Amino acid sequence: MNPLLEILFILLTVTAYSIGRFVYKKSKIMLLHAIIVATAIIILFFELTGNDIRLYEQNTKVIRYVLNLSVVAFGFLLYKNYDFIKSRGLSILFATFTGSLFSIISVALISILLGADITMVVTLLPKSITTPIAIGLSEQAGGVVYLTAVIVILAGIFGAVTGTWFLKIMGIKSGIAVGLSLGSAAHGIGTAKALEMGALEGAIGGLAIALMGIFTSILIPIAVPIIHILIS
Amino acid sequence: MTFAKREKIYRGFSFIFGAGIIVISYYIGEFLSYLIAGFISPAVMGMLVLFALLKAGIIEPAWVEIASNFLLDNLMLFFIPATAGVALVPFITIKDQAAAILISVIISSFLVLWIVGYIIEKFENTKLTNDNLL
Repeated sequence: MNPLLEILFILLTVTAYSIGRFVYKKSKIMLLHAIIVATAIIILFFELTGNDIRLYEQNTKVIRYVLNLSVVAFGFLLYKNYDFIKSRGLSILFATFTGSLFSIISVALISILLGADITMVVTLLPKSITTPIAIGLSEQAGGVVYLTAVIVILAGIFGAVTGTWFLKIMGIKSGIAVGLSLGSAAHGIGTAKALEMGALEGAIGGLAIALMGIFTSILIPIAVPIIHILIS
Repeated sequence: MTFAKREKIYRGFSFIFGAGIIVISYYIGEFLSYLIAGFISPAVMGMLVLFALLKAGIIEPAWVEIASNFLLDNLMLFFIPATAGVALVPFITIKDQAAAILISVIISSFLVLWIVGYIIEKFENTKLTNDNLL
């Protein structure tokens, strides 16, 4: 870790993000979402300057650390919306458990049908949960860890970018349903999107991250032997 | 000292104090996560710790409000180093399975969005009708 590079990359990241936010605000096009534009700017920056992007990976520890802290900050939102969430405790637990089950079964069945091998299938299993938990589960199940990390990010961006549009089409309107859906399908990135809609949506998204993480941690070790049987 | 200046200093201190509490919650979370062999990640555990501390009345919501809002408002920004990691994937090695990966992740994501939203919406609607009947 190089302190000078850390500071430089914080500035670069903030600049890329500000541009991304501006572009998205002006265009309102889903594919030009702030996080996609910002990521493209960073990758392009390293391509054009001829530097290895691994440098960026290795020297953005401060931002990664702050990401952990912002997950902790959801505890504050949970507290503020506790009464509302408590009144719907059972339906929230039931919905996230079913969501976790659907996530694992659907991603496994579809990828097997499309010819993915066993390593790839278990790599995909934790796609809907937050990166640190997903990485641990993938490793435990015999998946490719760095690929799981990328899949999780892709699922997160995809869910955040298309989620609100898709839910509207499906006639799902209430704030609690939208927040829980985004957090369940697209973890932190989906929750950031939910947070744009309101504090309650954000709080419920944060809760969805935690519950999905817990349920998926329980279900994947059960699912893996079944998938082995299915494939062989 | 003007009122505006005093307000600014108060917010600054409040931010640092709140950030300190969040950092401590994170480390307690990390320790608890270690105790259960990482079954729940340190950050999610830290979130539950912060919630528990607030619920138990050990810390006041106002103490962490400014720092929490700052972290939550800029959440997307903190994801960028992770998303930029996409550039590191040796796509050539997974080329044959790319379709399987993309299609399964997309359909499965839609399915999760729908089932979770659908269940909650159903519960909410019955709740509303029950409330109306009472």
